[in-house]
Amino acid sequence: MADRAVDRLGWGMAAVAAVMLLAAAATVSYLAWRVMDLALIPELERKGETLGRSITLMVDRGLAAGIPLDGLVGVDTVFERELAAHPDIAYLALVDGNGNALVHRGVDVPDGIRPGGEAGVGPAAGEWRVLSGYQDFMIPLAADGAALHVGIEADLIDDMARDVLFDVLSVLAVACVLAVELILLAIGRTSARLRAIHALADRAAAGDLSGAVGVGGRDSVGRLAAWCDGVLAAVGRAHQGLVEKVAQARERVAGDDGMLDRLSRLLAEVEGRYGLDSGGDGKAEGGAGGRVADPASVRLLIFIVAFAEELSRPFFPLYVRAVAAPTPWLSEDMAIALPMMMFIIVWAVSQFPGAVWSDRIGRRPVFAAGALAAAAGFTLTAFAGGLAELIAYRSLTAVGYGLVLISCQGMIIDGTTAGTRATGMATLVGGLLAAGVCGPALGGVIAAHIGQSSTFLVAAALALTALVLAMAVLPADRRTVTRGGGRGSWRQGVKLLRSAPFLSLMAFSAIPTKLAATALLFYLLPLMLAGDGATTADIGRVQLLYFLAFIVAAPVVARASDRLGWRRAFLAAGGFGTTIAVLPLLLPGGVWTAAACALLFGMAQSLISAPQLALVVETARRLDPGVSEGVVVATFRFIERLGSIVAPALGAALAMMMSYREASVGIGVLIGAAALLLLVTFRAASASTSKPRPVLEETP
Amino acid sequence: MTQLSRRAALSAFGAGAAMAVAPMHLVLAQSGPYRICFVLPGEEQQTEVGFRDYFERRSIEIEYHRPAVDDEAEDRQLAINRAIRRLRPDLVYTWGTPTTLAVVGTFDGAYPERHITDLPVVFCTVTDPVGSRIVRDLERPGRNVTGVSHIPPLPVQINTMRAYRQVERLAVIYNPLETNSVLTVERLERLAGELGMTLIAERVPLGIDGRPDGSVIPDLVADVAARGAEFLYIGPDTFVAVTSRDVLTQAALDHRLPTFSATESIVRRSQALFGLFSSSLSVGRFCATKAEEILVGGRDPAEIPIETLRRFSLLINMPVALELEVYPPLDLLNLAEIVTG
Repeated sequence: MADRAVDRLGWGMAAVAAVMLLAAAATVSYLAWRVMDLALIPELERKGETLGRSITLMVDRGLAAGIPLDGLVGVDTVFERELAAHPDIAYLALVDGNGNALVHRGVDVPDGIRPGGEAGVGPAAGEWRVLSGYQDFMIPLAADGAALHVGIEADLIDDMARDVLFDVLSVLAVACVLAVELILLAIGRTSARLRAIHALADRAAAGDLSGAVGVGGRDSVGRLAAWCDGVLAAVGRAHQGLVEKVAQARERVAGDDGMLDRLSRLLAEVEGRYGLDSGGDGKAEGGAGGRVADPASVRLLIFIVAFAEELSRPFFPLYVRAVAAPTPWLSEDMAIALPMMMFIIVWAVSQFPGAVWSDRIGRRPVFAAGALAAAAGFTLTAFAGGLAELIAYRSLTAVGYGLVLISCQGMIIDGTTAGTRATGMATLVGGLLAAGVCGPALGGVIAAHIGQSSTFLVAAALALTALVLAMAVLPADRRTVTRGGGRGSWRQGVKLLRSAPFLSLMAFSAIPTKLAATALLFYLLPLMLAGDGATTADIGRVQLLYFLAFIVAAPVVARASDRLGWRRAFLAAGGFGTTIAVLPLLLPGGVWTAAACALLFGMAQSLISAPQLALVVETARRLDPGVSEGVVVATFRFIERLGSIVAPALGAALAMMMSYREASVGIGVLIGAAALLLLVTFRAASASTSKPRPVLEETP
Repeated sequence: MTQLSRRAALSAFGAGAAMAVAPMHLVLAQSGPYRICFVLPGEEQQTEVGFRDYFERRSIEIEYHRPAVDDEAEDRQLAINRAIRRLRPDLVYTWGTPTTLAVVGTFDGAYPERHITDLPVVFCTVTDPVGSRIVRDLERPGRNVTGVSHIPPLPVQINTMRAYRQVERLAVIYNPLETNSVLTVERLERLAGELGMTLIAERVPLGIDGRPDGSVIPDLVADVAARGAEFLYIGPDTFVAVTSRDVLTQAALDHRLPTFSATESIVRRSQALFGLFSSSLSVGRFCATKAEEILVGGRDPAEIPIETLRRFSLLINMPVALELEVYPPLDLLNLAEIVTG
């Protein structure tokens, strides 16, 4: 109950802070945007005016030298050069006294440019006026009635303002997620200590007076913990006194066996009732709360490393294309897919030795090694000189990221019991999701400003930050216990895979889901958008939409699925939803269709995520009631990665046969087909009636 | 305290000594006035104005002399060199290829009794010092001679001409007796081939006196115009571009043939359409820096590279352009100086 209260408090504070931040930032952004709007227009107009005047000077020089207006040579060359140098100028036109454009470059000159055309009312020279969608500026020339016209697209200013607005909105969304992260971290540390006190109080209420809270802090929570520890220490001292008194009494009544026996029984009864142990010092189990990392810290650590990795999402395929020299035996699309595939393979494989090391050597060293490897990988990637190097460096990053993730999972397992593990994992997954939201959006903006290579260096710096932070906040534990699992878990997993329902679930839902996420979102979408001329910031924003849709819809879906007890239906709906999500790509409209696709796709994936995991566990339970949940989830996670591994290759193969757009639609249709197959093959005859347990989610 | 003031006094003395030494050094370096002998084909021109102007601005005192040559002398070349020696100059300045060759001879045919070999010579306005065999290597002349060339590289000239107007058939009229003219036509032939142009080259025929015959120039112009020439190239050819300039440009105008020249005067004072060249003032100044290196800096001319200016002037004769109705493009007009009248 106390846990819930603290958590509610935390979420409440996070929500309030997020709303306040959003309001404040939105206000500031709006004001800044207005200012920019006001400053931008005159700036552009001044530029057009200056350009017009410099060209007029040249033309007038020719006229002054005696060249007739229609004999001027090289005006077209000048116009072309200036338009190439100033893309925001829409047209340049040299117009004679009768309103005929003698020389004209750029978009078609709007009607109404002719001077004095309308009843002798000539356009006012030296000021901007709107002519059918263009801002037109006229400068008279030193020939009778002739003039130079400079045009700016009227929408251009709106376009620029909209671009800035989108950037501001992305940063706002990311800032909110970050704020919530930090608040949860702060709340999490306090709530962890309160939980420790609460657990101790629970034990004391049940008559167990052993142990101590063992958490520090100089605030009121810390003082409360210290007070509790003081009381318990006093109890311990009293117990020690009692033991000594019993010993003295024994000496006095030596020989009286009945009395000795009674004394022993009395002491044992007291010790038994209050959980005291005369053999030990009463503090053997103390400080359990201080030895494990609190989930909030772990969440922050995983957030930073995942964020670093997510930074390159919007431009990674483009980066590969830029770095990799053309290879005769490998198509460009395959070359782009290779490093992405290798990353996922190495990442998945590194989990197994990583899990063993993290159990044997300890969480902190493995986390540190992982963060270091990731930082090195990012740095080397920034300077990669070819495809082979890129693959090697990305593999190194994958090892690092894998080690970081497995050690963080281990820390969560250490700090939770079977009952609280789902919540703990949810904390971890929350960090990953938050990174998924912030990383691509900010990565796109960063890359647009400092370049793609430099963005990898930013990622490396972040990984190093996580390393330093880990050394500061993680306890220096040393585990020698190998936990259950190992070979036995492999056998259990293999046994699961032999069952038709589980296999159908894996083949037609787990693998396709991951495949769709990787192929569409991280492979095809960036390439498609870049092909349409989108910037990395645009791509990041589109990917952000996916994560936002997912993060908003997933909890709602999870609760709905739990309440209704529907699993298969959600999975199928998600699969068909993926097909629907790619349909906007068939429409004309560039970035907007891609954005609609990402949004719909995020919602479709959210339909699948939680119910899928629940169904996996439930299916496994029905097949073998004694199976360990951990093994089921591990098997599931490993198998679904196969989807991520083949995704880039499949995307590349499709892209070779058709356009990126068509390839994306193809993937969407495949996922729909898989959903259909799932409905046909997965017979959930004994429809689950038991209320499902809370479900762990993971970032797609 | 006393220690300190002693040190201060010492350092003050040191500084004073340094200040006293500095002007001494300058005075030593400027052991002028220097004697320079101008050897020119005619009167002093803008080049010499630039040359003198440079030394005046540098406050280097120079005495200028010109050799007095007996016009009746049988061997004119020998007479000039004897007159130079009589002046005992510190440096000899020569203008133009023929004059320079007369004074210093070729690198493989110079004789101490006929040529100036023991005095440093600085030349200017020599089109092609290597082609005319004055030196073997522009970077290291290897003789007691260095100087400045005034002509823009031929590709630069031709590109400028083509920037004015697309040319496919280019004509050139030249004096076969001038080495640099023959060399220029040879290079022009190669360049035209590379650029896909046809070159129509006509040499000025020699009269019975063995000198080029200027009276046939209008006929030559009529001939190349009839053969479809779109532009007439006038190289750094003394006979064509200086002696016959008015006859030549009037004939070109009569046949509506645009003319491009690598020399200034034919555009500025006659009727060539336009030209690209180093301004004579700048050439003279640049030449003076070479002379300063030898006189003041004490460097050996054999080690001083022969150079061309990097910046050239574009001059357009606007009345000619208007008469031909061949107007300069705005970009060219923007860079050019205009002759208006």
